[in-house]
Amino acid sequence: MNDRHLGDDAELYALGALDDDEIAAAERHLAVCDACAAQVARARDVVAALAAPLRAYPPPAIGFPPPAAVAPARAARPGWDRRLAALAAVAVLGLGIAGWQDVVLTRQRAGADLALAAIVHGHFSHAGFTPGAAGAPAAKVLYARDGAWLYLVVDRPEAGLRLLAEAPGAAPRLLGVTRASGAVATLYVERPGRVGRLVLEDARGTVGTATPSY
Amino acid sequence: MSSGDDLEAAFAARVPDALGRAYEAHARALFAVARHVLADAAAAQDCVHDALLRAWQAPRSYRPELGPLRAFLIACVRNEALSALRASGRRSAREERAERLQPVREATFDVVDHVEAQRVREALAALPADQRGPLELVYYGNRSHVRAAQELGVPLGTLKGRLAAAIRKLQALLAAPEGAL
Repeated sequence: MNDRHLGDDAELYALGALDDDEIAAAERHLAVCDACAAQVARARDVVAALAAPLRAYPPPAIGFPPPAAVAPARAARPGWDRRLAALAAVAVLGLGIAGWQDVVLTRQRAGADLALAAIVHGHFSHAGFTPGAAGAPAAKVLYARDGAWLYLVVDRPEAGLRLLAEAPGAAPRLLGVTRASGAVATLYVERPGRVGRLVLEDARGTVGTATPSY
Repeated sequence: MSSGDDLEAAFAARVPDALGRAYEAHARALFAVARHVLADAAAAQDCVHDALLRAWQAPRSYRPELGPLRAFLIACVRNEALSALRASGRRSAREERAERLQPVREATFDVVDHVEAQRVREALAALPADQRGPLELVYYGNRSHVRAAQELGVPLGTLKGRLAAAIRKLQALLAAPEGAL
């Protein structure tokens, strides 16, 4: 029913007061009807204005991947998918970590579109680390569900943290060591496989643990 | 072309730094909207993140000719927040907290936009009561339209009609010259 104008549903759509089915129908119509889209745009202006009296809170910062790291991928060559997906992880993790700790990550903007585009095609998930001790830095790992890569971000620029993968009946496997990158420490691991429990440790012992779910 | 126009065009064209610039320009409002709905800082953070990604990824999701980027992003975040609220297993607790948040009539704390806030309060006050009540219940009280209809004791269709009328009336009120309300 793409040919029927939205009527009141234009305002209700802008207000977020439609059911899922109604939203889907509205969006199908909006894709082909400029008049209704304009009506929604006007309604959105009003709904946006309604936010003005809301209580304000300090917004968290967002981090983006380093431009130098993503620039070579601009040509979108085959084989860069994993790298791009990992870079996408930085964008996501930057958001997440900033949210936990209100840490201002160094924003490095260029290439964000490529990284985010990779998210669309990347089947990944993320897990937070449970701190191993009081005062331990927050950390998250973003990982491909097929075990193709994982990306660790620690909200402290602490180089030399060791990331190990534990599996039942096997010795812990060292996946790599973090390096400082701006306000955070990071580690990208290519082809780690589907790892069990992840342990992040420093010279004093366990910093945190996380268990990816594939 | 103003910097705002420039940003809107850049966002629509998916210029690499536009997502970060858009967030930087509108973070205060986006986070406030998400936090108001979800009443939880971490959930609000996730919500803004997801909404921005969705807006950035969807082809032609933002069309500059159809309104300001700010309004588009606020709508995206609010819809994302409402979806999260309604999908959440913790809905009841969150809704209870969210419902304690009332429309901000006399701000005793920092608000998103002081000047605009005053105009919005005046415009809301100028709405007919049968339009203002449903709108405040749905927007500031985060009720679903079904629940709002139940609480107000009106048929769902009536509630929807009043909400739509309220938005259109507000549109006219806010478009009036300052001091004309």
